[in-house]
Amino acid sequence: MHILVIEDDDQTARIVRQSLADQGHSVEVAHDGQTGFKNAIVGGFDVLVIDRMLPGLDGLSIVQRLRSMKVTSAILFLTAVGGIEDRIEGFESGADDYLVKPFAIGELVARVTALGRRPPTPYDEILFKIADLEVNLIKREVKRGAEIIHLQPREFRMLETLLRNRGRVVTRSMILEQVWGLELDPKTSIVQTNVSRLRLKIDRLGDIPLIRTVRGLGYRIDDKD
Amino acid sequence: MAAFVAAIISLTNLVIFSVLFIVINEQLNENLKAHVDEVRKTLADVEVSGGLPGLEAMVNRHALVAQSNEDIYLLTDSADRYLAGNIRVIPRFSGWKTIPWHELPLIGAWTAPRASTAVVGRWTVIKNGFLFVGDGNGDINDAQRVLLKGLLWGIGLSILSAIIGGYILGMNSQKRIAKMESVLGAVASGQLQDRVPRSSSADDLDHVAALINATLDRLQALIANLRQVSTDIAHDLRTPIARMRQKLEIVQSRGSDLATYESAVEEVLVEIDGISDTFDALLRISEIEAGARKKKFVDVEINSLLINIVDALEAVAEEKNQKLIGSIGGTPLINVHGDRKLLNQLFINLIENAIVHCPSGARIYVDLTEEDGRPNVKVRDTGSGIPPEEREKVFRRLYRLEKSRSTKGTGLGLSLVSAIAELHGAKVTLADNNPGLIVEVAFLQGGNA
Repeated sequence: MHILVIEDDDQTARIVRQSLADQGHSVEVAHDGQTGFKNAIVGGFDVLVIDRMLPGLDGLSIVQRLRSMKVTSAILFLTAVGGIEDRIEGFESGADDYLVKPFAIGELVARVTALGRRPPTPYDEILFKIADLEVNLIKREVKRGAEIIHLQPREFRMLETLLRNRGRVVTRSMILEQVWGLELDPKTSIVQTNVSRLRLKIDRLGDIPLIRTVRGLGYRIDDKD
Repeated sequence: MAAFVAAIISLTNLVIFSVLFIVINEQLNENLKAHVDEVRKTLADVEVSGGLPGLEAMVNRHALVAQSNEDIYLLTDSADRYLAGNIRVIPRFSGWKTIPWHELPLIGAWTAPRASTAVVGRWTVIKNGFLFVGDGNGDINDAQRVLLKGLLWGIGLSILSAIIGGYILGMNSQKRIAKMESVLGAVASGQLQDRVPRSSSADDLDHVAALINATLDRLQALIANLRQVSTDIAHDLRTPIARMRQKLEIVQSRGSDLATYESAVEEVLVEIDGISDTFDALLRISEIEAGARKKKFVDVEINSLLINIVDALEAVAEEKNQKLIGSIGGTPLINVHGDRKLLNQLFINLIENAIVHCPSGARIYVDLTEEDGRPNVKVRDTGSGIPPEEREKVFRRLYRLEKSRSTKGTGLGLSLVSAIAELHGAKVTLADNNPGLIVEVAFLQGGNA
């Protein structure tokens, strides 16, 4: 993927660039709003990572202008304060996702990856097959080998979230958002507990464990390491 | 203001007096002319009965007393020659004419003081000559003088009363404005508790005073809030920062192996997340308490919001061998005007609190009831509860019960709950579940969805 990072803090920019490059993406960095804005117009990037507070032109204005110019790159906002006003403004301006600083770098990489691979019509894929796991999203049927697995609605939603990001990390907060619509940091292990239960049903029956834990970050469904 | 009132009053006076002046003047002029006409008619009749010599004698008799009456008589023959009267011949004219005294060729010594300035008179054609009769306008002048005097006094008094009244009113306003200035000045220099005294008059100035006071109340609350936040941050962030420093210093000085480094890094990351959580929660609480976000409120259906949270937390409770039971479905759908994310946070915090602080085997109930569309949510548990004397304190920022110091948490959960509840017009109360705790969130707003 072709990614532009607009971030004025040198160290953050360097780490973000390195981490995304490690995943095989080509990454450009702009250190101020004006440069970032100009590059974003002509660069044809898949994903833009834009800091909210920037010298020159602030992040919110950049997003608004890009969207009014019909630039369709996916946009992830980085905000220093997770104020609710900020979040709403961010989405209203046309951003696709946001992340509050300080963030875990793995969280950023996972979210950028999810944004970039987002298919044009997100719900066109209904049949998933990984190893001997078969899932039909329309019929809500789950089979492992010959055995039909009965899932509770929330378990099915978790599985669906993992499948749509097959092979990629889905972080705990992404699961919390997508399965329960909760944008908060829970005190208890909501995601871990619920994923464990899902795993008990899915992976108990097969030879290869499919739901894999990515330490300190989240989960990934895949049949290879 | 006083000058304006005075000007208005003077103008009104002027108009009234001008009208009076014109009307009275007109009337007096009419009277005067009627008097002259009467005399002319009488004298003309004398000529008819007594002939010209008779008229001559009569005019001369009249002329004798004319000085005190300020009457003018002149009788001429048909060749305009003097026959009788108290003035010499003047040119004839038709109609009425007002002739100033100094233009009249008076005969004899006119010594009596005159009230009039001019004579109003006209010529009459008689059988054998011409007769002029005129009368001084003294009465008119008198009336004019009296009116003018009245007008001047009226205007003078009006202006005086307007100025005095205005001054008294102005002094009062001035005093009150000065008081506002001094209060605002005191506030600007840090005396945040000063307030403008209210008057009993409920006028515009009092309204302004009330607004100023309300603004100052808000300002004081915000600043107190800000101070509280800074104190909280200083207090609660120093400790984990100090811990991190110690950990890093230890691995640095001992030159440890990779595993020790890794575990130190792990621990430091946990501390950083903790600091970040605390920081976020503090900022969020102060943001909520500042109340700036109500404009983004929408209708949030509380039933499915609670069902969703129970759905997410059920497994967590079971993991601790607890049972989380929601009785929500039976209640009609209710909307609350609010922020979905914050309401989620409120109820997650309450239920997670119950899960974290209750022992294994406990039951946790989430009940939704409604009264006139106003929802009431109770989170009840069968844990060890909170002693009555501690119940107020747990809402304080960073306050933690002695027994829960060891568990994970910022000590801000319930502060956040109470801030969110207040923003949504809900009241949070703690009660005894015998055993256990009941947290009741009673909304004062809401409506059936």
